[in-house]
Amino acid sequence: MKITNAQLRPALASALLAMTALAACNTANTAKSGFNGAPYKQIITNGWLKYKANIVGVHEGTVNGDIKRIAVDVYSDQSTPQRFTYKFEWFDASGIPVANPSTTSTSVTIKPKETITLTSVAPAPTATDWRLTFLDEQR
Amino acid sequence: MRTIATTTAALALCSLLSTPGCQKAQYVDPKGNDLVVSVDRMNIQDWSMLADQTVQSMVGSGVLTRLPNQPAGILLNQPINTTTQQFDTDAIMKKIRISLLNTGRVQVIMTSDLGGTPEDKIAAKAQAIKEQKAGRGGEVNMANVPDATLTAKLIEDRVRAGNTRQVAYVLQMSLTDTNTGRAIWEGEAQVMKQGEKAGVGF
Repeated sequence: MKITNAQLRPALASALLAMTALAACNTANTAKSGFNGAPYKQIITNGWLKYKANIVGVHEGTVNGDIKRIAVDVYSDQSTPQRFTYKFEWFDASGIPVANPSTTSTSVTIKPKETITLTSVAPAPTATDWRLTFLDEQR
Repeated sequence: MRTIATTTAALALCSLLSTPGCQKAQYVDPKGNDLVVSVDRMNIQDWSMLADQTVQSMVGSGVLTRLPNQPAGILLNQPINTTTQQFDTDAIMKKIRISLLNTGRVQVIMTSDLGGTPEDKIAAKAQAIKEQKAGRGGEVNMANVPDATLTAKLIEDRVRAGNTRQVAYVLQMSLTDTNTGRAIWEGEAQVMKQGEKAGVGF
């Protein structure tokens, strides 16, 4: 049986398309604190992930006098339960990461049209800026 | 042309199909999403999650500023491990200690023998020599008496439904003010896993 170029082209295109799609679904969405009182900033590279983990509010405060803490409201616009992972990281005023031995990615399930609140307390008084990273979980 | 196209398509399909299964040993990010998850036992990510939840709860409660001295000296009791696994509980407790120290509100006492033997025996002897030299050899060193103590207990729960197994690890902690003898903070952290066999993910 002979395979023609015309028959191969769709197969090649499908394979490359599938590879591109696989690569794209692993990209992260991030949100980070704004400097000098500016509002938080979101960087969206994964539109699908935004539909199930969209930031709708950020609340900042302090605890123990000088330790910053934040609460981030995340909304899912999906009609089925969804899963994603998130990770908070903290930085000092110079933008240098502040080490935290218990920082970890956390997996969550969000129900349809639900808003959940993700919270984090800064690891040290020197940690003033934060970054929240979302990753899709499709395994 | 056809040979090039065939080869390209084959390579693309091969790399697509073999991505998850052809990896050799490699380093991975211990805080990332590509770690082995086992339903049968605790993983490093379980330790991090339990430590993170308890520290977030304790620091977030604001209780550290209400401790008698600042920074407050604390002592940790030996954690009670009632899970089916034997492992070094420092895997969790050290993370908690580091995180608490980083807040600047507490310091861990290394030279006290209230819990049995001092954690740092050399430092305890050095401290005793210095106290003796200063003429306070027979006195109780109040720097070794904790302002607060921590207790911890690790619990496990296992259930099974058909081929699906579920395991929960629970870390319970209490912070006691030694002036009053009362718990001023209590926290509980949970990690729950479900599956049929070990896999990669989070």
